[in-house]
Amino acid sequence: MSALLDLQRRFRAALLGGADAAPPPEVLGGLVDAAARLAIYRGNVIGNLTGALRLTYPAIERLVGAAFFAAACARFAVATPPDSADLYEYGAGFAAFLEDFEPARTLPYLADVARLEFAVTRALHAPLVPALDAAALAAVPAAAEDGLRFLPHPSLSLLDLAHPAPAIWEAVLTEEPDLRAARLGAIDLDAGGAQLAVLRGAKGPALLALSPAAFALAGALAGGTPLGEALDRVAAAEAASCLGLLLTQGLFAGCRAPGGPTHSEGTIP
Amino acid sequence: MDRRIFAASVLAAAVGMAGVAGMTAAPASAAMMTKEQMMQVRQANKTRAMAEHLQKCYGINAIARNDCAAGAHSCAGQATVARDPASFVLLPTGDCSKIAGGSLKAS
Repeated sequence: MSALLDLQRRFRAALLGGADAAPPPEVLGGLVDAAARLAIYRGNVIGNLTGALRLTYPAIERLVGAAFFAAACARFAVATPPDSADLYEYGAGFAAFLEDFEPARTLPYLADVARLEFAVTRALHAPLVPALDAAALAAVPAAAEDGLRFLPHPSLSLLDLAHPAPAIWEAVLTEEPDLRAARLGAIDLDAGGAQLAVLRGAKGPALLALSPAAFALAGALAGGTPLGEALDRVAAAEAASCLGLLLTQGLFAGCRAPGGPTHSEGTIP
Repeated sequence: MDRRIFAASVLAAAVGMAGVAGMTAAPASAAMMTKEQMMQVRQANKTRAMAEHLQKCYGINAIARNDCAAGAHSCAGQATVARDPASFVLLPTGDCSKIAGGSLKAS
């Protein structure tokens, strides 16, 4: 191992090792001792990652308050440092973290709200790719239709939520205080969940509530299952309307016939 | 029905639906708006307001995550350390308390 890589790894371990982690001997003391210097560095890293999470999860921060949010983020950041230099991609595991975070146990819906927020952020920042045009499908040869595969749109997330997260999310992000309080007060936590497609529509992020059949079909097709096999999972009577809905709403960016090129030319809906 | 034929018929019907839906989304050329078109305009306005609101909430135009706002000064790092309340029991204190029956109950 190169000396530089070794130093970087030891520095990283000290950085993420909590307040008691000793600084590597290469960190020199001066007016401020080495441990305190490392602590400042650690604070900056955690503060920076907390800032990125705050931009992705504004509804979570409002729900739990700034102090709780900062403490949760600090723990998450140490346990799950970013694996990409692009902080727009940071925080995918925050929902799962909150689900197991003991101090958040009194708020069982929190993880679902976080899942929704990550999907919304993804929809807002995904590359601008036109949705699959129905005309491109008309050109698919008949023999290739059964094995046709669809490419999910890069902004698409499919969410199976157990709690009424969309209502909570919309209420808590309402700016006007009286209206926010009224909307929060009107939430029925026993109202059940939702199966959602979250993606970028023509005019911003769109939350589409899908029927169980449409959600199952969307999941199968987005996962790369060929059309014929995916349609087996849906009642025959619903198949055409479900597929038509998914196409109309722009869930897919392209399609590929077996052995053929990818069709992705489309128009922005 | 043979699966291949089924897939073909479903696809044809779905493409037909998607095509029709695309046509209704075209701008209305007649001077008079039908009730349905007015509903569409209202819905579009609502969607746009929602999109603008989201951009504000999620800081889309204001801040880039990689700008390292907190990392610019060493004092920011010290502040973060001071704020980490590792030594006391954390309780959610935000708007969750305004959701009826939703929070802060010891379970």
